[in-house]
Amino acid sequence: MRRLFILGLLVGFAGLLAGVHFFPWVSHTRLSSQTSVVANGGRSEQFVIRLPADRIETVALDGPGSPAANFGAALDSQAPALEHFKIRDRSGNVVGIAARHWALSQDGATTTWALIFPARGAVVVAHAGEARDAIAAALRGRGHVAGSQWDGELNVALVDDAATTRSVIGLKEFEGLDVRYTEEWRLTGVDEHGAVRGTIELDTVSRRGS
Amino acid sequence: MKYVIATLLGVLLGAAGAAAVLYYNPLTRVRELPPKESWTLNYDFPGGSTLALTHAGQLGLPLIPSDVATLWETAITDVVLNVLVLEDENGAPRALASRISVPSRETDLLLRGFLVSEHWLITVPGQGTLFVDGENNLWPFLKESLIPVKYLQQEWHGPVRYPVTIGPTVGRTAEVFGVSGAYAGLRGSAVESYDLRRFSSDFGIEALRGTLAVALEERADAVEAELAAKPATTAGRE
Repeated sequence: MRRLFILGLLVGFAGLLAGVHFFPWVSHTRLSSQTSVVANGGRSEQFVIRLPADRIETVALDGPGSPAANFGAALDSQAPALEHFKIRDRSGNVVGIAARHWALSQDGATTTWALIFPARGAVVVAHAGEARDAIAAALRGRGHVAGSQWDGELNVALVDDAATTRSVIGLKEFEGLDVRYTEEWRLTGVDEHGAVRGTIELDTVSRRGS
Repeated sequence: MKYVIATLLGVLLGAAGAAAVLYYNPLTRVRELPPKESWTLNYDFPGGSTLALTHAGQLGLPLIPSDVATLWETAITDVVLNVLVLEDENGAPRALASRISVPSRETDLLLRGFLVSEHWLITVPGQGTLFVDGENNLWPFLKESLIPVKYLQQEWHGPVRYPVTIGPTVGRTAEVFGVSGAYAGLRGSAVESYDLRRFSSDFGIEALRGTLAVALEERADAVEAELAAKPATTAGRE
């Protein structure tokens, strides 16, 4: 009986530790990557953002009670724009989330995308930023008046030459990859509150090394 | 029958011993690193500094604003997005940050702890943008505050400070990558800590002051040049 007790003691002790060690506490749903090989080497992959459904939040820096209101005058001329989206693969499945920061500095404007894929890793890419309110200006050029509804078709290529973009860092599955991208906004409408309808297409090409 | 009881008793006592080992396990503790020359960015959680906070809805954390889109889709259901105003040491707003937290598959409650990958995209208005890749161990917080207070209805013994960053670098710090403006090309390290000031079984985290200490070091191209020069230097000595 004593032997059984000691055996049980060992099994309980080692079993719990082994279970805690080997149990997969975290497991992210992994959808197959929809990539294709490009002719001159590398891998291309398109990510799509459907507006307005995939817009998580556009941060209002000047809203009443906003913690950002304490920035005061610092934001008057240099206010960055922070946007957050769900990102989809080419088939329309949500595969990650993205933060887009548009910011001014002494070197001019920069747009930075942080694309986070829980099952795959992360990519950070950047480009010389577009003019402030570039989308609103393009819409105005097609007859949109603030506060009113607009329907039509408008394509705005915010980045049309991937060679001008920068790969900042790739993590996990993207580690060591030089990722370049183009960014095109394909708009089909605006509602009376200013929310745009359409898609943002990020076409990426990843190559080994930088 | 007595043999079965003896075996079961042994298993239960063995498991209790293992649980005690897990609780006091030094491998999953996070040691506080000595401070580097750095600037600190502070925030209050869950309110105060938060511009937006969203997740799948099951974490017991608020959604800010209340109509923010939830991250319910299967592939992102574990993700927490927190948009913050970061303050400097004097309490003045210094930066805006998007913080994306993802539980890590490296989680191992025996050897490493409960790990969360932290991705920060930080913009300092007028200065530029940087990205921070960190790995935090939340196991000390979970086992000392959350589980005993929230689930075992024990009294909370606080306030308490939790250093949380344990990687991904070998120096157990987060990595910082300068993206644009004054930070373009800079590299560095960062460590994060939580000052948990109020915690209750009803509301969970009521007041937490987070601190991200960022130390910017060398330009990335200088680091690469140094690395490239190392083999040549070694060869020259031989």
